[in-house]
Amino acid sequence: MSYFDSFTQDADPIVSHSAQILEETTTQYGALSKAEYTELTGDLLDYNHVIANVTDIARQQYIYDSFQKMLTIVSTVLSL
Amino acid sequence: MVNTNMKNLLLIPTLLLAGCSSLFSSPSTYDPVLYSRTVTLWFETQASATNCGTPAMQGQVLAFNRESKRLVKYTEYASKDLNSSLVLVDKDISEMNSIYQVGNPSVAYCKIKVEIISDELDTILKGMGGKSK
Repeated sequence: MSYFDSFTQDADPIVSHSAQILEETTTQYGALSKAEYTELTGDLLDYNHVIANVTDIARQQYIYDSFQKMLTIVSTVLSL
Repeated sequence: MVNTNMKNLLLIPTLLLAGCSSLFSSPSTYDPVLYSRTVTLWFETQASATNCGTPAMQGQVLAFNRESKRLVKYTEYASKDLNSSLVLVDKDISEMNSIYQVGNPSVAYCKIKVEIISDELDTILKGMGGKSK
């Protein structure tokens, strides 16, 4: 059983995703010191935070664009 | 007559929508300068992975940190949505810089760190690319 197994199967998708990345990369590049593990785990949480931010921005942009389209359609119909 | 009634029917939702517009503040628009600088930082961090474990990395990380701070300042008042993500990238680069200024971390740490920072920047670029142009 790998050190990461309990984390990669965590119910929290942020924890499982982060543990999965860390497991894959350490297999590829080699083991780390405790301080390095701690820092990189924090970075992976930051990465998940960035993904959440960008998804939110994309959603805001989608709502805004749809809204602008609706306004254009309605004003075109009104001007007929 | 029917046409006028139809127009009146459309006017009500229009006014309602116009009222709702104040609820949605317009997302900041696409900024080619910011996009270009972020692409440069993404490219340079990716390319630096080959220097992990060499003395050249210390100077490179210092340069990344200068650029990440510049990006944070650039977006501080112009794009709050992107600023919150760039602050996180700057935090990660600053940690790396602090470690490199006092010694040499493991090659594995360097490679994983560079990969995470590049992925963060790539995600931010995806968000920027989707903005209104």
